[in-house]
Amino acid sequence: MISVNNLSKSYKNRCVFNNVTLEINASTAIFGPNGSGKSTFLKLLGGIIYPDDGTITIQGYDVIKNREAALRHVGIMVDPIEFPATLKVKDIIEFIRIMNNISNNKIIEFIELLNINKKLYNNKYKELSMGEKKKLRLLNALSRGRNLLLLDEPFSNLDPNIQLNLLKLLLDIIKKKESIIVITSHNIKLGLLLTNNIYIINNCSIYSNYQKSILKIKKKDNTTLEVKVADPLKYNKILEFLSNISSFNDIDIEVVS
Amino acid sequence: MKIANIFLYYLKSDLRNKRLHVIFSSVLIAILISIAEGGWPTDWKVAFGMLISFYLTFIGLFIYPLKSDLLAVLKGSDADPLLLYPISHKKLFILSLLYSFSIISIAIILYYIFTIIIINIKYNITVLININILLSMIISILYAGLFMLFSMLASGISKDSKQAIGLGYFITFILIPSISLITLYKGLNISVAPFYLYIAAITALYGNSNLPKTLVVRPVGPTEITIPVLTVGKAALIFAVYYILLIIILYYMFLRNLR
Repeated sequence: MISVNNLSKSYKNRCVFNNVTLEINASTAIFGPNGSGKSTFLKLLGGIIYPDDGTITIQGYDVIKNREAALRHVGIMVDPIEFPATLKVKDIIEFIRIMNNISNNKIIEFIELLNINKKLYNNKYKELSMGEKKKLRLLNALSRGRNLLLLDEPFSNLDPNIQLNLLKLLLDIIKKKESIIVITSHNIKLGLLLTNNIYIINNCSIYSNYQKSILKIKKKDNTTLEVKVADPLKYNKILEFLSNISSFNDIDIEVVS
Repeated sequence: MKIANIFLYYLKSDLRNKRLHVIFSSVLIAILISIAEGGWPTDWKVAFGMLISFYLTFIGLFIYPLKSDLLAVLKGSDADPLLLYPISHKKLFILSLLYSFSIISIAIILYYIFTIIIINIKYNITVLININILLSMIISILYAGLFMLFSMLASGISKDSKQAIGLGYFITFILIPSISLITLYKGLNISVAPFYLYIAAITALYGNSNLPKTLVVRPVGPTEITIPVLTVGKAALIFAVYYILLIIILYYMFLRNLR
């Protein structure tokens, strides 16, 4: 589905990715500390910014050279992309419907699921709260993402009940294999509820299992993360890294020889 | 269909965003005209009027519309909402330029209408719409087109949209105005600048003033448009203030956002 080859990207001498190669063929959660490059990775996948080097293809199409074919059914939600500030909510919904070529019924279904308040329909986009803005951006991504959904921190700034609704919807999409979902998150708990395919971004690289040492990572209960590692020498480093990026109280690390 | 949709929605947003600005600028012109009637030295009045005209032209007709959300991609930003849709970067760039041209043209026509209305109300000049004024409006729109053309040509030279728009800005805002000001100063009857409209409108009010020298005299209904020849010092002052304002405006509204 997604193929990343020798990807390199840096911002003003700050390395974000250095010669990264990977394949994503199933729904995936990407974790990493602040500033590690999670959003940058999604922007690169969505052809929003250019890599310094390397190529990214979606379903065989290069996202830069053949952007239209690559992103035909790809829904993207990344910062800092916002809708025009002075468009009214009802105009934005209509804009989304036309641009994504979806039916009225389908968009109403998404609106109800995201609980977009009808009283806000005549408000301008700039007058909305962060959460309400996010719902419209999610509405756009969901309306478009028939093959692939790239969602940057989809659960942040949403009420718990909307988070739950969104989680149910995303799980439903994954279960029905309607679309592949790639999310970035600080919240390992929510990410692990969605998928066990995990990538971790750190130090200019993307690891499918952190430093090739994590054999298994899963949520044990609401407070504990269970991790199995292969390399005892990296035990402390992995513990420190996961403590920094997760919201779990406890991390059980087991060394498996 | 989708391209038309993009135009329509962004235009709706931009016009909603800028209508107050258009009204404010027009009222400001009227106030300045009134102040200028207060008895300052005539050539200073004209110099001042021209200076403000340049300022309003740049804010109103070029820089401000270029702040449109649609044009984020033109500025090399990754915040353009249209980047969420599968439109090629090349198409987005051309779309941005065409959109920019459209909105600038609309702004020119709006300013023109407001200026005519204000001058009519204030000075009871009933026949201002004549071929010269219409020509000046068309020249203004063509001038906006020049900016688009240069930017597009530059985009052919450089694939980097930031460089392209930079070159477009340089040619449009620095090279052509400089030539225009020099030709005005030298007393040549050549004006390709959009602020010609303002010069024409404001100087139309001085039809009965005893200006020391006149460069061009064009009949406009019951009055005349007269453009004075500037002294070297005043021309230099206008140049200096003009470029200082230009640099400040460009920096705060455009260059600062370049990555």
